[in-house]
Amino acid sequence: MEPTQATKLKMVIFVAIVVILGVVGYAVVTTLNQRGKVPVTISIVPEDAQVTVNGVQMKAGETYLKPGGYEIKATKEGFADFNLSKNIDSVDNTIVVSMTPESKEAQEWVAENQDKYQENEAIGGEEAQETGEEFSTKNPIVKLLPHESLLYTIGYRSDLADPSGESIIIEIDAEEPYRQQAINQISEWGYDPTDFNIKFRNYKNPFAS
Amino acid sequence: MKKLIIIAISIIVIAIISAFAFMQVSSYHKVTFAFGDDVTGATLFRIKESEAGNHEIAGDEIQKITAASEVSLQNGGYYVVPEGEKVSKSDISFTVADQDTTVDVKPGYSDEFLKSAYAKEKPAIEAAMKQALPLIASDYTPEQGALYGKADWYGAILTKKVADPRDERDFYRIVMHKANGDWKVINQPELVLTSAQFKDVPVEILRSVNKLTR
Repeated sequence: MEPTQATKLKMVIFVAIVVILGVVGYAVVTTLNQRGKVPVTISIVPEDAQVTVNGVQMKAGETYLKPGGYEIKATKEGFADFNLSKNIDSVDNTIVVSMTPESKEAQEWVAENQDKYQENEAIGGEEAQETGEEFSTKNPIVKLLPHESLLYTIGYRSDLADPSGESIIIEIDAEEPYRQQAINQISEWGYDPTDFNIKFRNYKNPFAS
Repeated sequence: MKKLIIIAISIIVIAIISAFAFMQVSSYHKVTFAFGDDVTGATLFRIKESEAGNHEIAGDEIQKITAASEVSLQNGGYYVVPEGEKVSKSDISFTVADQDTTVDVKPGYSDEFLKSAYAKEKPAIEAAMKQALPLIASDYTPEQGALYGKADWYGAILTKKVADPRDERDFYRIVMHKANGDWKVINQPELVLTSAQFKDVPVEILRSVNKLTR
């Protein structure tokens, strides 16, 4: 028996309601799941390697993680285990994993799939560029450095005590009494010297014990 | 048929409104206010989005808080203005972002109170300073000394004693802390006080002392 026009319309409306409720429900669940997290892209070669982030298995592609430190591990038979510590922060992040072949089969696979490795390395290159930009974003003062005047020089170097590599040490080279002028210069740029790790070259604190 | 369409539209509208309402409700979080000993109350304001970072323009007053209490607040920027005879009335800003939070309303003392307290503490501070660093007694003069926080922090600049005032020298910044009735020099005087070196000193005190000039 053929369904009537009215029955067809009822079915269409029913399906429409289910679809709309599904879309609304999905939007709510997705929004709640992504709160306080940042998008992270995982790019891995070979694609079928097992990847875990802090012990949780992940797939290649986009996922959402809370900002913080993560241990990334990747394993695949015939390839060397891959381990990486990465700090995920509040901007877009990419985790690039290019596994090193160990067995003969794995080496053959890599030889046949050089394009995939090159593509992954290109993503890694973009990530490195983004990291450089991120370093400047986190330490915007570096865009003004080194700064040289007749009386002083202000430079910077990475703070090796910070394993994230994101901290800097400001270095001031000046004779007495111009060191204060160099500090004032930092304030004049709109930065508070309190927030920096500042070292003076060719200087001995008279109060040092 | 019309009835069916109306019911369908109603269900969709209710679903969308419910989802919106759920999102709204889930954006509220519990904020606990922990008052300092000398704080008798506070006024809570919401920072107007267009005026974020500009507290010269008052935000929207939300409510008075008369004792350490909990308030349910939506995600966003807020500030409280503490009340109390001795305490500073400076804003204390905080942000509610997707989770419950505790806000410490433990301001330092007001400038007037700190000035009067400094007059009493000055001899003890300078004696302790010179005892800890004899070089100060012989070669330096403490200037622009002031108390900070709850009158338990002291900051000043140390200028070199020179025969000719045109002989400009580096000047140093000193921070001292009062604990168990005694004043102690923190670290050693420096050209600039950084939070990296003075980890145990509240950063707002370092900022204030770094602003002192000859």
